[in-house]
Parts: sequence; structure tokens; C-alpha cells
Amino acid sequence: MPDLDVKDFDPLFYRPCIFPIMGELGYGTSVSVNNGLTNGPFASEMDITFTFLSEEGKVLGSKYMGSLQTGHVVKHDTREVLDSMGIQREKRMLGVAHVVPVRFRGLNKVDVSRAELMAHVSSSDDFIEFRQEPKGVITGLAYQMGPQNDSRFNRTRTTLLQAPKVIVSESVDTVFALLNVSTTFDYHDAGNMEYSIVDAGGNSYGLGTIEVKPWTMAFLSVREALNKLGKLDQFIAAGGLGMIIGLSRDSGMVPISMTRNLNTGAIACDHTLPPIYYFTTWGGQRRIEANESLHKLLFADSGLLQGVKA
Amino acid sequence: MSIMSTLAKNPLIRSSYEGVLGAGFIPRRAFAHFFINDSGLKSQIHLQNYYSFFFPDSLTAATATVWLHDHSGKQIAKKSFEVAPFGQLYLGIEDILGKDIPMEGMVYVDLKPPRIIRKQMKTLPNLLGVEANTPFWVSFRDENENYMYVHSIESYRGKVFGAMWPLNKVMEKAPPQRDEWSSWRLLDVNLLDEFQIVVMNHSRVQGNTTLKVFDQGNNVVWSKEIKLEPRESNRVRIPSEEISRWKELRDVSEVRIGLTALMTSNGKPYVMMRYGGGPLSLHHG
Repeated sequence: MPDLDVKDFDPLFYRPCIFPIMGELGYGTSVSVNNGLTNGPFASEMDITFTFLSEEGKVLGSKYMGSLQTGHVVKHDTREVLDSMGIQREKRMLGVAHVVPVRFRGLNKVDVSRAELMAHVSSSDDFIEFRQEPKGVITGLAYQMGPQNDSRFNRTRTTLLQAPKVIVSESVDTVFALLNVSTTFDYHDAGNMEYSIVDAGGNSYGLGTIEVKPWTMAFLSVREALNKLGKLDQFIAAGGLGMIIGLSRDSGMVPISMTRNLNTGAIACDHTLPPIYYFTTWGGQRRIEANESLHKLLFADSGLLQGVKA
Repeated sequence: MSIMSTLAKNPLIRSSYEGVLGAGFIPRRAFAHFFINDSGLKSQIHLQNYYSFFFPDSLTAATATVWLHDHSGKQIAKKSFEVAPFGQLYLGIEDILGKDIPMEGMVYVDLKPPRIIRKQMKTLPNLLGVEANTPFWVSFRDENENYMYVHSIESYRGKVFGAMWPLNKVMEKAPPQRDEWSSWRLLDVNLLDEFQIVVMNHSRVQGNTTLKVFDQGNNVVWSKEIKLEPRESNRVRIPSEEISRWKELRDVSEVRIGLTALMTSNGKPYVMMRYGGGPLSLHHG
């Protein structure tokens, strides 16, 4: 068995699935949680607990949902869970599905191997659905989530967002949900992202910054940002297609894009792709240097950041 | 372990290969996606010049080449486009094919690094293990501007860019890995109007598989055998009568899909659904 090289780890974050709840926009969230590691030394029956956090990052409550055998999957509609907990659901919130081996029941801190944690992360692929049933809108995305903003796993905290998914028209907006989360609810570090809205030719329509407080989700609405810059009509007239270039040098954020029809409620949603999807060995000092160059090139003149402070 | 990792254990091969990589001949894989211009849907490729983010001190345009296949796997278009630094491509059917015709099939894209970037490939970390990929998105929209999009999840197999002969041939000829697979997404049957699954063969080898739909208890409630030619895309529409039958059964409240064999290791299908008369939604399996 591998060394238990991660000490005093909160088992609630052994294999978390952290997801947005967009109650303020009238959507509910369902989550399909699986116990996908079916064999090997780390396969285990898992307990599932939900925790919900307020718009300010405050824990509102937790609820045990039962255990899940290996190779099984279960779906929960968080609206029903929130109702059962007496939590108002018409709010912006974060939800966490904690997937934890049953051997850790009753423990607040455990020693665990990195290999074990990564084996479960690799086999996870939780499915998050946003729902507005009266309009026939049920749409989803799937993602894996490794440990975020924990120095035991990430020596530096950076996020590079390069998502050519900005679609804006008279009836369409693209919103980026940015999640700033960690492996403990005692996490207190705000994250900051500088961003540039560029058109298909790579020309910037303006710069902005956005702060994401710990254990919260911030929305970056491209439509709102362009409106504040006074360039919404110009952007739409030029085709309404572009990209957000986002750079955080103090936080590993989880960005999710949502292109929403403002009339019908339809949402195209997907995660973005981290740099290793493009160059498989990306990281380390080379990443730090490239990010610094990007910062100098796009954002270093703070005078230019007069654009949008979201 | 990759073929390159295995070969790299030989010191002579390792040294030679490092020299080749250092000269900029990094293996590069094009990703492939589903593209449809039919059934009320229009597709659009979304691709950025990602070299600008990894080599920001050498901003330069890059060339993207796009190949389009029809549903049978036959190539019907190949076209190249310049992408400005930090720029993007948004390509519909007319941009690729020069005309607007009903079609659906596989599209794949390679973004070739400019010479100035190739010269700097040697600065990438862990050079021996590096591969470049060109993932991208395709958005699908209906006439009312209801959008769906998802990233490409599998590379176009049997063709490797960037690497020198004979390494590219070794990589290209690797047989496709064809494992059984089932989705972890539980899909609601209540309100379900349409249920379509796009099964694709990203490889150069014909294959057979069976598409299965399981209920929440892992019982097979529907299945279909599928033969897929190389590069073929098969959009399977679950009959509406079948969906009605699930609803009538009442004990089928959630379903998920599976294949007895993916055609390649990560060649999972795309899933399109319509609920309650609303807009279509899409996710990868």
C-alpha cells in the first residue's frame, strides 16, 4: 500500500463534487453522483453527504444521503434536499456532494495517500443538471474535481481561462461561473481574476477584474460587462462571438461557461479545458513564467483595468 | 504507458528522440467532434489560437486545418484557416464546405504551430512525455437561438501530426482500445420527449458495438446493434413509442446508456434530449 502522505486531511473532501445552484435565475440543480472505482485496493462503499453554502460562503447545513456501493450511481434533486433542510432555494448557492469511504465515518481528520485520492478523482465524473421544468429545460455537464487551493496538492494557485465560448446576441448571454473552493471549510482566501473580452480577431473590447470570495461562486456576465464598457452593440454587430481570457495568479478557480437564451431559459453549459489538455506536460516553472508574460502583456498596466470591476 | 515512453527506456533511442522533440517535432493530435447541419440544428466550430497562451512572448498567427466527413465516414471537405494571435475561428457549414447542405458527420481540426513556436517546443516541461492536442468546441443551435455546446472528447485516431517518420507511423498504427462502457449520467424519463445518441468511430478500423439503455436498476430496457465504418457517425433516435413505454412502465424513472464497446478509448457518444417540448440539450456520455 502507498504511504499515507497526506496528513490531517478532512475526509469530507476525499472525493467532492462541488456545483452551482442558480436559484436566483430560477433553475434547480440535480446531481448524479457515482461510486465509479469498482476494483483495486481503494474501491469502497461510500457515504454521501450534501453541504450547502450561502452566497457569502457560509455553511448553511449538511445532510447525510446514505451510502453507495461500488459501481452504483444515484441522482438527487437538490431542490428536494434543500426543502427538507428548510433552506430557501431561490438563492445563489454552492452545493457540495461529499463522497467518503465508510471507514472514515465519525472522523474529522485522516491520513490518506495521494494515490488513493487520485484514484477516486480519476474515476469520478459527476453529472450536474440545471432544470427549469415548466420551460422544458433540463441540461447538464459532467466534470471531475481534484483538490483545489490546497498547498499539499498545488504549490502555486493559478487559473488560465481561454474559452472561445462567448456568444452574445439580443436574446443570448454567456455567463462564466467561477468557483473558489478548497479542501476545508476553513478556507478563507479570496481569489481574483483579471480578464479581457476579445473578439474573433483577438482584439480586446475591454478589461476587467472579478473577485471571488472563498467558498462562493461569482458570475461573470459577458453581456453585462460589455454593457458597462459601452460596447455591447458593437460586439453584437461584429458577430457576437468571442472569448474570455482570464488569468488568476492567486487562486485555482473552477470556471463553468453557460450560454443562456434569456427568453426560453435554454442553457449550453460546459467546463473549460485546463492547459494540460493542450500540452500534456504543462506545469511547473514554465507555467509560472508563461502566466507572468501573459499578465504583463494583457493586464500589467493597471490603468487599463478601468473597464469592469464585477 | 505510451509507445514513446516505452521506447524512451533505451538510452540511444531516448537521446535521439529528445533531439527530435527539441527540434520542434512534438506529436500532435487533432480532436474530432460531431457536426450537424440538419434536423433544425446548425453547428459551429469554436477554436482558439491556444499557442498565444503558452508562448505569449512570440505572438503569431497559426494555421488551422479542418476536415469534414459525412455520416458514412467519407471525407467531404478539407480547408485551412489563419487564426490571429488570441484569435478564434467560428466555422459553420458554409465556411467549411462552401455551401449550405443538409449533412451530419465527424469534423476534426489540427492547429499547426508556426515555425517560431516549433523552435520553442524544447522549453516545454518533461519533453519526453509531451504531446500537443487540439481540442475544440462545437456549438449547436436551433432557429430560436437555443444553444448547446460541449468540448470534443476524443482525438482523430490513425493520424498523428508533428512527429517525424517513423514515430508518427508507429503511433498511428496503434490498434484502437475497445472497452465496454456505461454512462454515469442518470437521465429522467418523466417529461422526456426525444432521446438521441450519437455513436462515432474515431478510428481507422471498422467495428461493431451494441448501444444499450439501462434503467435505474441496471436492467436493459432497449438495445440496438451498430456497425460503424471508420470515421462513421451514427445518430440513433430512440423511438418515441419506446420512451412512452418506459413512462407507462412507471418503474423506469431514470435511464442511462452504455456501449458493449467504445470504438476508441475515450470515444464516448454525445447525447441529445428534449424535455417537455422545450429546447434540446446536449452532453457527452
